[in-house]
Amino acid sequence: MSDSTLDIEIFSAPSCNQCNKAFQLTEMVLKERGDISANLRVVNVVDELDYAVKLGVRATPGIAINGVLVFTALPSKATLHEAITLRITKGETALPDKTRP
Amino acid sequence: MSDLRIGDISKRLGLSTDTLRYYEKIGLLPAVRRTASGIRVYNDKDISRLKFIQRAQKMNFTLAEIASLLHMREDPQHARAEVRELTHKKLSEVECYLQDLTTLRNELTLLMNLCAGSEDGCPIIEGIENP
Repeated sequence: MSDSTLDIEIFSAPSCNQCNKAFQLTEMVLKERGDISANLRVVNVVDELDYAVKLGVRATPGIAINGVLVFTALPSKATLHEAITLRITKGETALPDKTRP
Repeated sequence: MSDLRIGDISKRLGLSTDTLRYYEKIGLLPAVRRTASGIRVYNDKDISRLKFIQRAQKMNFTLAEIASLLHMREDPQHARAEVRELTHKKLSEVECYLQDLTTLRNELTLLMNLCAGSEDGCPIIEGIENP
């Protein structure tokens, strides 16, 4: 397993069908890779509006990796895979807890 | 734009004629040109100044502060130190206000997009109720 741990946040909202797909897709990519330790969190934008807006979320679903909004809509599996791999390759790790709400 | 009379300006800017006369009386607006029969005629520069006054009032600046800012607006190179300082302070206030507005716009954009994508009612209400 890689030494890196990623923070992956799925920005979601009630009644957002694509949001659940974004979560499932992320889980699937992480499972397929199998070598990544990740903190996967679903962020309800209605509950955490300030945080979502601060990260630049303007619609759901959104996917942030290590506190940076990477996808503003449901990505393809290959694109998500690539984005995660890129961050692992660059040696990015999860942000300290204080940066999150 | 051709010169406008006080009634036209009043309609255009939504200021009462009394207010327009008052601004002139207290010097916020320099003496407005008058026709031979004494009717006030406002030119583009007057209108621009009045719009500036309106914008500053929306930011809750006092008339005294607006008067100072208008001095700065007329002759920025020769403005007194205290006027420059006030202008700097007011600029900071405007920037804070603008930042708040930008955040509010972004929040409303997100809520509107959620609303558009929701099948079970609109989460805007929920977002407003849980600040």
